[in-house]
Amino acid sequence: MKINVTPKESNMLPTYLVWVLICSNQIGVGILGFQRIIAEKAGHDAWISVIVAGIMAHFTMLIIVKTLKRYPSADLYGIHIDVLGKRLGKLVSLFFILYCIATAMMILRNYIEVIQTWVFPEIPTGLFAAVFLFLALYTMLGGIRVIAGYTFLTVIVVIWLLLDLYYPLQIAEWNHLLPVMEADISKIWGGAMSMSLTIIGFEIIYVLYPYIKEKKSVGASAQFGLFLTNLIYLVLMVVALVFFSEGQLAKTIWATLNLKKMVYLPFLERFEFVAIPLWLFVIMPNIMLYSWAAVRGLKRNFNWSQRKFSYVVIILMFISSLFLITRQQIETLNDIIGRVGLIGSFAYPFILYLLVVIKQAWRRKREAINDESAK
Amino acid sequence: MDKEVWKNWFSHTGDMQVINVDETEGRIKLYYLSSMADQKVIHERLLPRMKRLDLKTASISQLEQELAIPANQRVTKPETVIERLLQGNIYIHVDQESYGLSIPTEGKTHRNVTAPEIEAIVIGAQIAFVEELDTNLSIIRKYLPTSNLYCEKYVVGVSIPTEVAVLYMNGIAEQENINTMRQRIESLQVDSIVDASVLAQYLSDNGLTVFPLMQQTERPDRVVSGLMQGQLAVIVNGSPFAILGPTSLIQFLHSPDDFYFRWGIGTFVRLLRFVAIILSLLLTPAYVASLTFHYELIPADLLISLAQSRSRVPFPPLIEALLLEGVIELLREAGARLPTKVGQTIGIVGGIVIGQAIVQAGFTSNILIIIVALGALSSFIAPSYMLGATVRVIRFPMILLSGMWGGIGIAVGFSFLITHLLRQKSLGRPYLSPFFPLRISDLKDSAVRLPIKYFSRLPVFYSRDPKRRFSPNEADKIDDIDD
Repeated sequence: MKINVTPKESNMLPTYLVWVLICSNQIGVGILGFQRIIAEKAGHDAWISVIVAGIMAHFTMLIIVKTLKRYPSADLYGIHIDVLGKRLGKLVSLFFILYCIATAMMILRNYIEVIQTWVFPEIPTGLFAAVFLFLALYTMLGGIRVIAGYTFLTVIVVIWLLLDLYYPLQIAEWNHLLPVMEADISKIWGGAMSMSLTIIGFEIIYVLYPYIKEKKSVGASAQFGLFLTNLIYLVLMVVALVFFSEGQLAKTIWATLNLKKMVYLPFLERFEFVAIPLWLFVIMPNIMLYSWAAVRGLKRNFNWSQRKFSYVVIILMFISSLFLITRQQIETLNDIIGRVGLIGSFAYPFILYLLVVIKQAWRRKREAINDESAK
Repeated sequence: MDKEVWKNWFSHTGDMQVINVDETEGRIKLYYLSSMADQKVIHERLLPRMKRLDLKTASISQLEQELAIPANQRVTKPETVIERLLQGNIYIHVDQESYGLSIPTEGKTHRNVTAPEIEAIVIGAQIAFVEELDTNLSIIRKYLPTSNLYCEKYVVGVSIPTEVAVLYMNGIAEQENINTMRQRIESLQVDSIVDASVLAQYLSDNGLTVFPLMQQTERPDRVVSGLMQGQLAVIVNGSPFAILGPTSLIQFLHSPDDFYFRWGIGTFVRLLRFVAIILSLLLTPAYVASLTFHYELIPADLLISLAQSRSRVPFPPLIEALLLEGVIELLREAGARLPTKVGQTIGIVGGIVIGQAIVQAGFTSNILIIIVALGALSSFIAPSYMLGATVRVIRFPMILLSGMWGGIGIAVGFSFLITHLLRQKSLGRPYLSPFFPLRISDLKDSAVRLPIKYFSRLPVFYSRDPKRRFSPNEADKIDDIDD
């Protein structure tokens, strides 16, 4: 297996898409109800936790891009082989692949859960899982360019949904935010930790990197994407804090959706029934990108066609979706992915960076010795 | 070819005419198809000059000299004779000679050039293509009298050869596109093509999609502006439609008169079409979805009038909508097939009689009639009839999806549509350009139409290296106020 990937020019993505892809892959189903979980830990200072988590994400992204820039055009799988050797590298890659599949599963299942709670209580999980996975498969078979196009177009369509925050802000109670810094550092830190499930998604850059045309400006574009996500999270957190009282927020599972109830247009009420179908456009890029990352990993490590692995992964996801039925099971999955994501997305990049630096330094040294002995 | 075949063909060709030039002996004969050849040529030019010779002894070379026929018109093989006759040539046969002579005449014209009827516009040239390749070529050449207009001729069809011409502007059209087009036409192995629309399907990148991947137009000005931007045009003998490619989806919403009007009006009309197409796909499904599943969406006042209007309807909204959409499609198809005069009557019958009666009978609600009519009207606004037909067809799966899963069904439908469009290509170029891949400089001519001064560069879509059309500074020079 080659460490570097060199795709055809026609399959590569322009750099401006990086921020779209990062931002879109971060925002998924977590955004619908992350406010309650953070406020549980940090109270009305939860917005500080969001900022802290955001800064941590920016810093991690810096390290990720630094790691990737040490290679001309490698992805995570190639780096693993380079740093950890063939067997161990493949094993760690397999963990990442499983993580990607599980995350895609988690997003899919949570969205279906939203549908089941708000719109169709009786609908079987398998039905919508099959429909959405078919859509994902159809897009994935078109390649990364089609996935990127889907993401780009849907972001443009959905980003206007943010404007509906105007309605809840009309009756906002800004005193809810006072006094600032009532929660101590450990509580704010706890809140920031709870953001992990919502904020993960930027690690997709590990797999996307070889497909980006101008690799110089990847860092800036990715950071901008992160910034946009953090800004959206911060705004949503603040609006939820000023709109709900602390007691109300603790009981509101999907705060973002509840905020949409405030929208009133002369021909439209209960805006959440428009927002939930539209949310399909928000979660589909997540499912596609994570499954694509997993499929890429399988193709790179096990040398089979990407098309066949796409079918395999999608069918696998469909079958496993049939076993996730109760709310408890979903919560357990969310919890596990939250923890794994915390380690995988925030701690692992630092370890990997260290390994890459050590490996390359060692290699340089050995080459120097070889050169000398050759002389 | 042996004599039997020749004789057989001869006796089965009723419009074959034979003239004995030397009256009695029948040594020199003229053959032609009365349906194809111009008989004036025979009587005004050939016969008088032939009579000057001594016809009893005249050899073929004497005839050749007298009539000033170039040597490449000599024909020896019977197959070639038949081929030439079918093209409208006159064939001169002299007994006991090794070759005959064929004289090309201008074949009969089919119809005169008229104003466009399918793509009629208010302002602009009132001329449309006809069924003849050479006439169409001459129309285009009159627009573009330049040696840079390249024209490559091909013959397509294994058993029925049809002449096909590929046109492009040298220096503007991208070589890659030209090669793709050439290769696709040359590798075509079909029995025959009847119309340009059939060829367009053969040339398309994907034969399965319902979306048109090549533009077809009867307007020369559209072809000319396409050529000037770097598109390739294909003209098929026997079809009054030219094929234009590569193309993108948004171009099916463009009409030449967007540029004939001032930019504000052009932009307004284009946005209107853009919104209309989306509404056409969304209106009826939204009605079905909200009345079947999400009636909470509708504010109370509106819901009351909706409920009143639906109170006598015995069907669920899905059946109601499918019924009415079916009626509209019936009317459209009947209107298209019937002669013009009867067609208008059908419009009145359908619009007023059926519309009124269907509500009174309690089959559908008033509001649905409004919605379906709006949707149908919106689909007709597309300047390309092909795209309008596509939009009308994909409404039905949309309605079904909305009837099954409400708003989520509509989202699933649109999601599929986006992916489907993203996967389409026209001559290898992305179909959703300039939206994806985003080409900011091409957005000037997409859902909007900006002022002419921004059009100094050719679109990026057709060529990787767009050239300047004019210097924008020159066009932009404005005197200061009160100078």
